[in-house]
Amino acid sequence: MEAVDYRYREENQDKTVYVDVHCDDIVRELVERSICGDIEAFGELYGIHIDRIYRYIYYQVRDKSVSEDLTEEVFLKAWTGIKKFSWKGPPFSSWLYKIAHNHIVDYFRTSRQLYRLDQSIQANSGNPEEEAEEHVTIKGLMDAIAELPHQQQQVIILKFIEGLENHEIEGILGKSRGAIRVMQMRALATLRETLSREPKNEI
Amino acid sequence: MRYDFSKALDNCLSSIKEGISPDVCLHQYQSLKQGLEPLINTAIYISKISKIYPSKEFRTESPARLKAKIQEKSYEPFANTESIPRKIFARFNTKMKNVITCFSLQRRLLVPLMSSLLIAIAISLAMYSIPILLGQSDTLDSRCTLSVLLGYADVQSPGAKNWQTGADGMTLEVGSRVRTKDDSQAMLTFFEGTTIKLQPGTDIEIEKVKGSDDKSTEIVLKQWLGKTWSRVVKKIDPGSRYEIKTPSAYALVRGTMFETEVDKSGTTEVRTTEGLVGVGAEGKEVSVGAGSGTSVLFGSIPADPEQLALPKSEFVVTVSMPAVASICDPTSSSTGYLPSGISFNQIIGSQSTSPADGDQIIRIPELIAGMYRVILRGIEDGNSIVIYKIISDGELILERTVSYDISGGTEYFVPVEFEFLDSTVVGAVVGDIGLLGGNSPEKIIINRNMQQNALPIKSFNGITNPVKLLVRSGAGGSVVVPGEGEYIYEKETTVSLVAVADRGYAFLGWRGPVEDSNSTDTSITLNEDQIVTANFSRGEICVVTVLSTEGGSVVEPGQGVFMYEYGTIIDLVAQPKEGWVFEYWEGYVDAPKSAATTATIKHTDEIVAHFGRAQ
Repeated sequence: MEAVDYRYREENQDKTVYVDVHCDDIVRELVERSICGDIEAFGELYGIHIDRIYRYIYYQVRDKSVSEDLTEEVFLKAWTGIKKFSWKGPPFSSWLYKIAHNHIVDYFRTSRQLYRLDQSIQANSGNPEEEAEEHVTIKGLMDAIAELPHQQQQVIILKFIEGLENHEIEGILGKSRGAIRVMQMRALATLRETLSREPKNEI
Repeated sequence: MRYDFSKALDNCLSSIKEGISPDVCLHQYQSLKQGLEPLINTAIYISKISKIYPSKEFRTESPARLKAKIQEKSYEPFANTESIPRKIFARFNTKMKNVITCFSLQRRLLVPLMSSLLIAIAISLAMYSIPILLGQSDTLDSRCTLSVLLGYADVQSPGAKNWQTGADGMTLEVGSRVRTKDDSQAMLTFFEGTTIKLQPGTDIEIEKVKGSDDKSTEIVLKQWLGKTWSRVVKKIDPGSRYEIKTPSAYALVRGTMFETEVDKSGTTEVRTTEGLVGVGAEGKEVSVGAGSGTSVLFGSIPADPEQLALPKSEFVVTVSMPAVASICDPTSSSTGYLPSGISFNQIIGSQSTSPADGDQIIRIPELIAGMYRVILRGIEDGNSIVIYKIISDGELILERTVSYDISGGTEYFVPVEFEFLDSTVVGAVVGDIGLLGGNSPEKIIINRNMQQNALPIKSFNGITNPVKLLVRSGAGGSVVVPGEGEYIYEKETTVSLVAVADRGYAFLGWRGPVEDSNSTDTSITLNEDQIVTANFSRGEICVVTVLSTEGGSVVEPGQGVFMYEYGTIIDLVAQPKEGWVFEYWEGYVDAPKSAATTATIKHTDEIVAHFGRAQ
């Protein structure tokens, strides 16, 4: 089972243009094959979605090892439940985010979570100075997001970091469109306030 | 005109996402512009920040691990064998339903799954019929001990999400997972003496450890990745098993030494040095005898075993009584025997015959650069003949016989260094014998409750000047080497002592004339009858390392390595240098952004104060 690296799709494009690989025919074919028990096809789906699911988890858990474990567990759950996946519902990526969302909720519920800063952020800009600066920026943003209520955190991560549409976020969080809009507004207002206090952030 | 602010914000964000300038949208909502603009800028700022990606290592390794877990779910009856046959059949029935369902989806899965299932059921019934008939109970410690041989090993306790740095001598429960870093080595020692050495970059999980009062044992490990070297204590009971499961295969043995390697694609390679290893996958099992190896690609049956190539180089040492020998390689791994009869084998591919069976022969294959040390321990006074042989590319390039004058109870070492030319051994220098003086260089950790099978080597030679040693412990731990009880040794013998604290307790020290009363691993020289007692205190000790980055220091409690009892609350104060400011604490502290904070110590941790230049 080779992990297919689809990261170039994101890295070669402007960061504000959102990747929409779930519409690809290839994803549809891989999902169909996975439903029929093809582990190799599921491995390719894993390669396509691993970055986004990991990132979604990491922003909330903020521990590299825990995020890695939870990412694997999310995909294991996805494999177990893939026969229940239907194209009539949300896109496959939203379905994965939904599993990840539920898994994180379980994780926070069952573990006595301790706050920990993690230095292992992979900024990958190639330039050490830029990476260091980027590291500080990402850390500042993560700190600010961490201060938000959990639902607002998820709206920010899903919408502005992962680039999902409102209707997809509704499906993942199980909230109405109006509720998502209000959470988005409140979260942005809080982030604006928090990030403005940091001298390095020029918003 | 009145607008819903949240809706206006959302509309603007949607249009910006479609490539429309923020000004266009703000112009549309003039009355809300003042409130909208900063929020839109914040959203754009967040969207433009570089994304975080999982590490390359995780991306590379996790597909094989996930694949193995998926396969394990498909083969559930193999993985979770129960002690009641009824449960096996219940699971079998459930699995059969799944098989039938799957068949309707994809026929090609049915044949391999069915054949694998049948073998699993056969193995399960064979394993469990004996205990049930005899009414055995599990009485031995179902744990193992971690030894960090080199560098660092990470440990994940059962059910925990976080990884912690593994401590040498740490007790691991069933369900624990151990990972060695790329420059590290570790070893697990089970209660009956079986060891598995983890090479750099190895990931392993303890699935099952079980011992019964009739000496039948069961050890099942999952090896996700990397290379291991197993030395399995011979088991007489037919119900005993030692099994390593990998993403593509399982290796099942009873008393042998073998190497298991799992690469990132999930391919498994098994190489046997001694004994017989059964390697199975997809319903087929092959027997891999000494000097042979096989490989298993994911989803395939095992390849037919093939004779392994002879080692490119080999160091063979033959030692006659009254000395007992071991060899330490340049990485501090060792193979050999102690006078107490305890044997150890950490050097991959190495072998040692028992000194109790006559001349002791130690074979070390695939020599590496650096100094090897041949350790000789005198059982009694006399001359020991030691023959050194070095074989390179199948040719004997050096043979040297030396007679050493040995004193009973004294430890010696002989340095040996090999000369290489383009990775081929072309010569060797065997140094002069010297007194070892001090602690044993071999890393030997023995699990508590370990069955005391070893007999002192000297018991084969008779004891002329007996002295008694009474070994005991206080509450909260035990002495695992040589075990608690009364022993008789030859006078002047040096006996190794190892104490292990129970969970929730810490080692306090030894009472009695031991070499180092503060070390769990020490020794005593017996000039007369002696009593030694290991004492323990309640409260787990956590090792906390306090550090700082450039630009300041930690003034409270200071910088360095500290030991605290579990649950201790410590004060932390970070002080920046002039021109620097405190930024944050890394580690489990109560207020990561406050220069003065506290931390409740609940595990081994590293706390780092981070500073940045003042703006």
